[in-house]
Amino acid sequence: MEEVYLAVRDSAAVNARIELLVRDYQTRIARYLRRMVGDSEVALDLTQEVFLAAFRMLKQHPERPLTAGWLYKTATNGAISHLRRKKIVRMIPLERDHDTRSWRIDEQSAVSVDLQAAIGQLPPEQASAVLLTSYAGYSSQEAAAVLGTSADAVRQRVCRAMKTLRSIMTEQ
Amino acid sequence: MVRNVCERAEILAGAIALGEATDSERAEYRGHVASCASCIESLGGEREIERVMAGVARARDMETWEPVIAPPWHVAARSRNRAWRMGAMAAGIALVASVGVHAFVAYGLGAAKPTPVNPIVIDYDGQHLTLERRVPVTKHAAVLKARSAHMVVVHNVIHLEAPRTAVVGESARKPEPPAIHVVRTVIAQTTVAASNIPIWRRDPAGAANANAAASAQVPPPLEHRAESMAVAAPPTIREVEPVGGDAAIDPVPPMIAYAEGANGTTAFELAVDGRGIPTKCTITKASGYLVLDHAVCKAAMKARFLPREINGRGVPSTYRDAFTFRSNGND
Repeated sequence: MEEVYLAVRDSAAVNARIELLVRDYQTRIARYLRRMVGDSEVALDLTQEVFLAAFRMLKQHPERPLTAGWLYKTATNGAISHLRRKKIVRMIPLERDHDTRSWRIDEQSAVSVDLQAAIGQLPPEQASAVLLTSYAGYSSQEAAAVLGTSADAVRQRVCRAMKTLRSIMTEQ
Repeated sequence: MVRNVCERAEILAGAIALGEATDSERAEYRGHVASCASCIESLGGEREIERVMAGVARARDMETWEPVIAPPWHVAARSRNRAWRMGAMAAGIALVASVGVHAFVAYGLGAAKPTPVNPIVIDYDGQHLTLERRVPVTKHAAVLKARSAHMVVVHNVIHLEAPRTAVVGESARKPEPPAIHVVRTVIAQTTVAASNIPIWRRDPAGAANANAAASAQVPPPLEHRAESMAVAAPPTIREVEPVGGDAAIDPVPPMIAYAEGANGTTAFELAVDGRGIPTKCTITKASGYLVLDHAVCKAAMKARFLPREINGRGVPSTYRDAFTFRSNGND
């Protein structure tokens, strides 16, 4: 959350910083987005858009600091927009066989599949709160800064998400 | 109040789940769930919360997906190239479509060469459309043709009847002799009813020649006048006539008339009010070409007239005239 990329003006320097940013965060952002949207391909596209937006912002405003929180905030907004646009906020993508297989093969564990099925039933706000804290490792304060809300609101969202996760994961 | 307390318990449970709860907050949570059955049912105790969150953490730790994305500047360049390609493609499509449409309009139908003997028949929407070949008439072509061709516009050769002599007290006056009047060009193929010719166009020379023949038909002047006639002065009458003479009505046929080689005679009646202004044009004999009839009426309605006057006072009247169009452009 505290990573701050200093102002860069040279085009090659911008490319170098972006490259470093991609190397450090592409996996985390992609995993976060895959949990949010429930689809690997869509998550890759959204991840690409996040870093493309960062690249353009740095090209136009090199004086603006770029934090990891900015990346997560952009990723969250992109995921919520995608879910709203596709009207699949309540969809459970892993009900499809090939998606379930891909997750199982990928992670060699039924826990991830179960977790993804539970997250797919969460509202985007609760899902983003859980994933930012439990997956990205942010505190409630930092997640609140990313989501534009208060720390108590983040804790409450995590609690309500946890209730849903508990019921689903207990059933399974 | 209960709701606010339970919401506070949710916040505390969230803090416990995230591992951020202090000892006092944990004690506060324990105290709440000990007395709140719904919260202990839905949220569970501290152990239960930590168990659920441990499952989430385990799933996170076991995740092995490590995608690799392309560098953003490559994507940006590809996006720009794609935009250029799409723009160039759209421009190319527009150019080809434009050329194609123009080529089809210019040569397509002509190349098909449909003829009345072998027409092109198109079935469209349940209808049969037959295309026949015709020489395209464009304005440019019509103008070029009009330069080489010309159309003769004449007033018809008309045999006049004797003028009306029904005016009271005019019996002593000699009737006007019939006359033949040709305007612009003498073409005497068409005869229109004598009553269609206006009085003002009487030819003095023709009248002199015709006087001899007509004088035999003229009744001898009355030797005796009624005394009353001497008392009542004969009215002075002037018939309606256009201001400007023959050139007053100058029909201008449109170019399509030249292109079509229009011929024909148009006779018309024009209602003229007491001020000499035409109010209505009626075609009494059509030429067969609507454009010619329209040209005549249009020219007539634009003309101004000296109204028919009786004792110096203008009265509504009817003006009759005719034009013959003869085109030799196709000769």
